[in-house]
Amino acid sequence: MEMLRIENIVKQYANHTALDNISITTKAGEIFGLLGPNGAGKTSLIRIINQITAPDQGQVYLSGKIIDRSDISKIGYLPEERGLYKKMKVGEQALYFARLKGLSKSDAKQRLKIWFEKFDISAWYDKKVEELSKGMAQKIQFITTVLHEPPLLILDEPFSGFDPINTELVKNEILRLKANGTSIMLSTHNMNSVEEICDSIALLNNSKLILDGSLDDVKEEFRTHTYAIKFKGIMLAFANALWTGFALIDKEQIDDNTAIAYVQLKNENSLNDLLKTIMPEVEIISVNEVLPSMNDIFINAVKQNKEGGQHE
Amino acid sequence: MSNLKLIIEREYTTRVKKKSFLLLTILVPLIFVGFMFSVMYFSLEETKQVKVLVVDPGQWCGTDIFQENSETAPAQFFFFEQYIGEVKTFVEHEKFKDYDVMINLNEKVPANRMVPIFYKKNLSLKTKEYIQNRIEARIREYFALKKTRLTLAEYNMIQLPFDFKFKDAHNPQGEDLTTENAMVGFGFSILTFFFIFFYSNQVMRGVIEEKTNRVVEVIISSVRPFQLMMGKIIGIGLVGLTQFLIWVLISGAGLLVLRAFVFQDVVDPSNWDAEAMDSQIMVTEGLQGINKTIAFIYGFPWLGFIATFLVYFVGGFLIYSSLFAMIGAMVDSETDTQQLILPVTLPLLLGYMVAAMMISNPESHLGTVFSLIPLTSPVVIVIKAAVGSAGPLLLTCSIILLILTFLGTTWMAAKIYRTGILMYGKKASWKEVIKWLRYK
Repeated sequence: MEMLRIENIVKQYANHTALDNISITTKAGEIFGLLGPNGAGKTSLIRIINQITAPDQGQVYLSGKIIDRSDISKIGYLPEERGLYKKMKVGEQALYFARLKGLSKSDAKQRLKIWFEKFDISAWYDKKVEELSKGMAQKIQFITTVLHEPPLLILDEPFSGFDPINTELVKNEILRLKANGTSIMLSTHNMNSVEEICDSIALLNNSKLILDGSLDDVKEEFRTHTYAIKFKGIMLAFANALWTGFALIDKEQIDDNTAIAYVQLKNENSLNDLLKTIMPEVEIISVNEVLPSMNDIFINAVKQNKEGGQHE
Repeated sequence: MSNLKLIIEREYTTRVKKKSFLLLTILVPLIFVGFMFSVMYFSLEETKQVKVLVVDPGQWCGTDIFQENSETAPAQFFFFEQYIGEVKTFVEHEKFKDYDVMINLNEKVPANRMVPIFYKKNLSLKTKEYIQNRIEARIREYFALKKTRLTLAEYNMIQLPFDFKFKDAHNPQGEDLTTENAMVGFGFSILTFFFIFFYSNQVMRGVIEEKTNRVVEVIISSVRPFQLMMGKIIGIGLVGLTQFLIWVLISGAGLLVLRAFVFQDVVDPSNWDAEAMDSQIMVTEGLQGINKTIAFIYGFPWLGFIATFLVYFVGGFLIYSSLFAMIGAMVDSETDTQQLILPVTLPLLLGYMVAAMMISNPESHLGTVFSLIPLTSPVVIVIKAAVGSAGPLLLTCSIILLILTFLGTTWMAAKIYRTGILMYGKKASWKEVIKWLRYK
């Protein structure tokens, strides 16, 4: 079931196009990673979904229906540029945000209590925001984003400002929300977290969509067909055995008689062909495929895009 | 709608709860009432009677100076018919140690019209005026009798002042208080000017605060930018009104208390010393002036005037605060606002200057024109309202223009605000801002 359908969105500013005909669909209940370098148009797109700005062309659908003002309460948005009123008390402020999202005062109070306990910040309820550490403020912002339990969460760089412990806390919270059926759109530069928690991704570069699909599909697409082969024997013999169908990309000597070779398959050759070629020369200990990390995919995709050869 | 209410509530309560608000709100009227009190009190205060030595070798005064009541008069006169050559003698000689003041009526006085009066301790204005009036009246009489053929009665008749009274032909019974009324109007001009400027500034600072705090995007994901802007404007406007109403209430109550307990004998004409009042002697004029002021303050048509003032205060505030909100959205920090504020404040300043000119001429054409221009009318029209020359036609036209301008500026400000609040890290140029007006 689809959650968000973004159709042919175009957004133009005075001197540049921020979004050039973007179409993306996300599934209900998945964590969707919206990726791209700085200035690619992610924030512009997110603001359009949140109806903070209007697109020049195109439509956004939420659960199959054109999005309108009444859908605001169905979205929880954690902007990248986020802050709190410094002079207000923590609890007062959280309450204010919750009520702006349509929660009643008593309802909001009750939920806040649960969340403040969960994040271990109950003692801070009556403190002023200016007394908080950055991580503490980030926790409060996260809470105010999810408090009204919206079916769709849009989190822009949710982990920035957190130490590893709190990053883990928030990550687990995101996964728990997902397990409860919340759809999540995540925009981040932290590729590790993308790999860990995203189901699908879209990659924007220069206002254009250059890549999208499930994480597995994207990884498949960016497979380099490179294998790490650990063997006993002489590296020179191993290298000599390879003919033009294979390329030795890297090697690593473990001890006198053991080494790992990184070999990329070329042409139509398969792993079987490679193994057949080297088996007579060395004793194979293990063979693993080297899959590209999200980091590599990101860099490669953006690079390819820059060189003009758009992927696919 | 409920979100707008929430925003207004926040803007209002966070400001009203501040200590500085409380201080300003309570202190200002107390200072005002205290000032009124001290002005009245000190001018009524009995000053110590001084002993005046009139050195009068020519015997012009003839040891006879009229005093209606020499016991309570500010000065008592004594006469000395020899020259005292040096002031030092007056200061140092044992004989003169009981006298506080010496008046030297030497032979040069009639020619160069200069009467030196030496005091040992500085005198109050009231005492000085008293002495001057008495001596002057006496010398004039002396010379009138000596140098002319007039009788004393004839001379005194000529000396009686004429009271020129300007009266409204439509209301010949009423007193002409145009200048006094215009002064009250101008007072409120100043008040309007500062209120609008001060609270519009608060709106601007609020916008900048939200921008630099980065809290704005969080909020406009829940409410429309227009709601946020209007909520802020209305909330802060209500703070201003609250402050004004508290000022009016405390000042009003203070004046009533003063009238009821402290100055009752002054305000009640039956307590006035009719004889002293009617006498031609000018020393009582000071007291009369105070009585007039008090009577004027309590007699001014406050209700209708304040209603007009409030309409224009609200209208003017809405116009200027939306412009200031716009400026707040255009910049990234308060230091960038200076040159943007100037063109926006200029009309307000101009209106203020026109208002100042209108004190002497409340009916001027310039004033009428500026009463119609919505950017200046709030500070100008209060003067017309105070002197009663803001007719229904002028008021209607002016208010309609005020409302139309408010709608226009708010529309424009909302468009610019919407884009500006999400622009971080730079100050927008006017050229860019005009483009923002066209964004979807």
